[in-house]
Amino acid sequence: MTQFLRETWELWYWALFRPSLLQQRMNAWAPQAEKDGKRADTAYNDILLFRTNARFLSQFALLTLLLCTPLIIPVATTGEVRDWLFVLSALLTAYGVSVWFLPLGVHTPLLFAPVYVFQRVILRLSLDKASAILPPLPQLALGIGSYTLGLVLTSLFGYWLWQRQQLWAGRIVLVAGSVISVAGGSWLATQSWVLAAWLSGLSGFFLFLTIGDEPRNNDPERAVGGAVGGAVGVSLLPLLPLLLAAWLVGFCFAPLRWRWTGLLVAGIFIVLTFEQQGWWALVAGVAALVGYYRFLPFYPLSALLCLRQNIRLPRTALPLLRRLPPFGDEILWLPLLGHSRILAAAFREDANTTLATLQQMRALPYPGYRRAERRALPQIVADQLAQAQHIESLIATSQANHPLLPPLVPAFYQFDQAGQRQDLAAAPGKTDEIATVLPRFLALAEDVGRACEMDNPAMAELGMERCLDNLRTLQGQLPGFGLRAKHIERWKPAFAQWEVVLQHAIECQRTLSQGELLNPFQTGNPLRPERKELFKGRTQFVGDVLRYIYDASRPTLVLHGPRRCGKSSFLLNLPHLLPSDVLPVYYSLQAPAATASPGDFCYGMVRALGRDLRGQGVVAPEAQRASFQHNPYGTLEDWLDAVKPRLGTRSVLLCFDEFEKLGEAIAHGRVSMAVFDQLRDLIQHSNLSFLFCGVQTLSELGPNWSSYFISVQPMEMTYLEPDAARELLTNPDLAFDLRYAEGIVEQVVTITRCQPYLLQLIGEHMVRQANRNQTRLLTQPLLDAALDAALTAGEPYFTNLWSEYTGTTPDEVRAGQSLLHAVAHGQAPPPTDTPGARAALRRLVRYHVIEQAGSSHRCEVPFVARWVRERAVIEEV
Amino acid sequence: MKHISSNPFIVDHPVPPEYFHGRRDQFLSIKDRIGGIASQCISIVGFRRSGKSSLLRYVQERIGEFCPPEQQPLVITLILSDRRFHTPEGITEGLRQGIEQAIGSPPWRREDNSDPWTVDDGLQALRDCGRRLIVLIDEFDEIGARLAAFEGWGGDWREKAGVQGYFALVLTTLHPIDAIYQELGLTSPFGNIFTTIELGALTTGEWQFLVRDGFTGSGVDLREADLVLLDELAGGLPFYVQLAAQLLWRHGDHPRTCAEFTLQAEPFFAKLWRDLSEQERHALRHAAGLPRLAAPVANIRERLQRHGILRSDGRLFSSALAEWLKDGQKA
Repeated sequence: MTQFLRETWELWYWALFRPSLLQQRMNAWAPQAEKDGKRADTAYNDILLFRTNARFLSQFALLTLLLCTPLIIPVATTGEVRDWLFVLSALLTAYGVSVWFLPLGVHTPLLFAPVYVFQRVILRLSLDKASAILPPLPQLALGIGSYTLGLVLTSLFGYWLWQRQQLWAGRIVLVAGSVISVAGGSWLATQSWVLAAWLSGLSGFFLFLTIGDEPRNNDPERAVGGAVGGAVGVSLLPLLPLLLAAWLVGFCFAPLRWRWTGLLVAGIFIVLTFEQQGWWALVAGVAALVGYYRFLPFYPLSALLCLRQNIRLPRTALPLLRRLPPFGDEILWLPLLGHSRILAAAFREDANTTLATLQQMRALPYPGYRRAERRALPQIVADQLAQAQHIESLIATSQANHPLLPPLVPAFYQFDQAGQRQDLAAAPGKTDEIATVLPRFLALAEDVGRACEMDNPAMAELGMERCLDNLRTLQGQLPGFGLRAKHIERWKPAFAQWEVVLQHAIECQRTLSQGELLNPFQTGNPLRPERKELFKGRTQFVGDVLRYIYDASRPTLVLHGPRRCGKSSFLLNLPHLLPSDVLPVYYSLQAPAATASPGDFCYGMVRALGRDLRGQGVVAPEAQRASFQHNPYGTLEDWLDAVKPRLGTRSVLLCFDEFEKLGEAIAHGRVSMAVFDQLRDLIQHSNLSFLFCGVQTLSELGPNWSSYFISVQPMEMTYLEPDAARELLTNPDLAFDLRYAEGIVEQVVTITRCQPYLLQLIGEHMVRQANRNQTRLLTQPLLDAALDAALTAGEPYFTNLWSEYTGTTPDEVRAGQSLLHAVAHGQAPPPTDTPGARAALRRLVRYHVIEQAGSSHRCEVPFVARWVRERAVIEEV
Repeated sequence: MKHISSNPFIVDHPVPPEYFHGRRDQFLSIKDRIGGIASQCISIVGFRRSGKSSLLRYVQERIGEFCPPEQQPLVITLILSDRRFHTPEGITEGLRQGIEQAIGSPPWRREDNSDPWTVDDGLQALRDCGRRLIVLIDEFDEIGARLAAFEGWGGDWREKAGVQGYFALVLTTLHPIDAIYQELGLTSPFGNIFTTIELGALTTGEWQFLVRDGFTGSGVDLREADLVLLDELAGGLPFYVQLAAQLLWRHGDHPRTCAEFTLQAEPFFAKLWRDLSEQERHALRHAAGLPRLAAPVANIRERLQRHGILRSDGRLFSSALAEWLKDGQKA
């Protein structure tokens, strides 16, 4: 019972204030047949007449009876028996109008009440006249009953035909059936053919005009037509009750969605009451409009709430929003000032709840919501964009599964089958704020997403920097898009927040980049003393050098070996390898200036001595270049004599690197053979020790060298000691923290054969691969990638080996390359029966490119063999 | 297509850093070499229009991405096609002026350009005061036309860069440095102080990002079919990607873009052809499907693939190039 009464209350409340909920109940209690997967809304005539729901009908009856109470009470207390006919009429009229428009119909008895109260006498006179005109009651009842029965049967049959799409047949049945029903009923009631003919003709004519193809729900014209009958009686009321009645009628019509309803109702009231009220009829029309647009009593209250809260800047907008439409009263014909601002503020407080409210507002057909939604939406979207706290949420704004933006602006989240966003163009000549700004933000978010997907953090960083630039550009472009300043202002927080997020993300990427392992390996350049931690091994050579220096005969040392085996590095690091009583001096003859002339040679030597002695605590006298041009060797000797006392008991080891250049200079006439005399004299009569360093031995350079320097001790430097190679790979630097997976170090040691340059080269690329993959553990795949990259990076070394160590003449080179190619591929070598081939073979063996392996040869360094196999191209004739 | 902005794609000059895309591996290599504990030399090898000059420009203008501030990098760019740098003295003067502009005082006097010891002292002083000098040399191949004038220069700079550590060199060349000297029967004086990086095609992600960035930034739609067309025409090589994208942006329809691309790319195809060795040309002819050709040497094909001239599946990088070869002129 409680539920029944509650539902009865809801019937009244929803009919007037929450028509959408009433519609939902009607759809649930008397659902329409499904058609094409959809069900049409249940109309009032469906649930009250054609497919009645007993529960609904009984609640309707109770409600109507309750609303008839203002009429029943005066009739019961002060009326006559025949006055109960008015009650019956009111109830029947309520039902009849409700079949077309329930909100009005259920209140019809309320309109009867004031009419009865104020115009009782006129009503009774009308009833008397009608009684006189009308036939006796039984006859009248028979006629009306027949007419009603005929109409019911006609309606049922016509409706059945309409349901089967027999539109014209239904129309004809309705017209004909109604005419016959009217004719038959009229005749039975009045026994007058003339009246029957008139009534049937008129009704048939109007029916034919007004009956459309299908019954329309809540047909406004019919509902309004129903109001005409009520208005006829209402027009007799005094002014105040008339105004109240007009307001009530307008109020009841408000749920009707046809936008001209209000004006029509007002017009009808004016027309019908003008005769009685004169110009006061206009006030009745205004009252109808006030009721229709719900201007009284609730709108001023809502407007006042909005205005007051907007002035005071709401602290909590959500509770206020719940006190405004569509809460309480769904119907909002007139927009509320400040509604959009409250909506936007509520969204900031509780987005999900407010989103539901917004969607409800969108579903309602009343124009009062459109303005609020239209004004609130850009602010809401801008606020949502400004909510992006980190890069993931920024990217998420462009995705269809974002929790808020797609429901807010679904038009901008339409994707085709390929996953491409369907862009919307703003209407021509019209600046739509959201359509102008949002797609650009979404495109930026997509670009950021793509940037973040980059494998390499530096690449990702660059991509995000580009996005940041584009973001700033977009902000600068906004005025050019036709947006007003106050509109641009609301997007500023979004721009600011995105800039912060992007900058933070860029910094994180940069940190990843800066967190890279600093590459300690040095490929190509000799290791200077500042990189002494990178210099490993060669302890045997240090011992040999010391032994020869301490040897009373002080032989001339010749350090020779293939290129890039660490000879120059060894010489440059001697200061920290030798004891302090030996002062090594490094003099490179690579620079042309050193061998441009005897004076330059001597001056260069003095510069080198002065520099390196100064670095080891011995202050050498200054030397002027000009003095060496005139008398180079004499000036050199004088200078050495001046330095000697400052050396004390220490001996000097003068190391000439690239000493072959001296021979080239002699061959080109820049320097004479006198330089050899000078050097030999220095060896014999000074406490200088000499070390010549180069690719070749003195004997290979020619007789001049070997005849001038008799006591020569050659030292060949090739591969690093295996322990030193492992140490180099695992501990090249104090801060080095790259770890190697098991077997990696041994693989590198094996394939390089501890060749120093290749160790450095591969080490450099292993670190680079580790950085590229943001790891501190070097695994096999990374080693493979490093080796592949090293083959490219070491191109100068490998091609130099391929062209220089295969021969000295074109024939030798071709023969040597063919031989090396075959050896690298493990194939049978070409015949070496030509002088060129034999010379090439000797050269390849001499410079440790290939070695004897049983009856055949193999590449000394496996990695060199790999380069030959994968990269070498034999030069064509 | 409606365009409200200028064409975002650049083909006429080296790409400014803000529009540079891709090459992250090369960036890492360069950073390791010039921004490492000790500065080292690196050569950048790539065929014409592979983006070498753009890469150098990026290094010059964004040196902070390669060298941390504490290294105090000082970058000087020399373009050897510039007449001022056709002699060693010219290069030395270019170096001197560049240093002077950067630090406000000349490292040596102009008249001392021919005095190697004075120049040596100046560079040593710069090194010893903590400055890291990085010399970018573009179009290094130009030296091959006047090697006689540069006799001894290579060894001198090798000494300065390799042994003394006065500066790091970053060179761009069409061919490896050794090949430049070998062409004239000489051995490179630089020894092995350089490591090499090769410029090939951009990765798919990189060039598509480049294209999307340009189209999106100018408010023009880009469809998947457009990307397919650009891949077919340009194969990821940056200049050709820019050219194809520029034409597509301008014209909008595919047939017209293809026709214009073929027309505008032809001179560059011709220059590329001139730079190739006979073995490389043979490989391209074979890839174009010209009949009765033996398979190319595997190493040659792989080198062309690394440079992006051939795709990983052996096809030419551009269908337009294939057509250009097939017209019979290059058989």
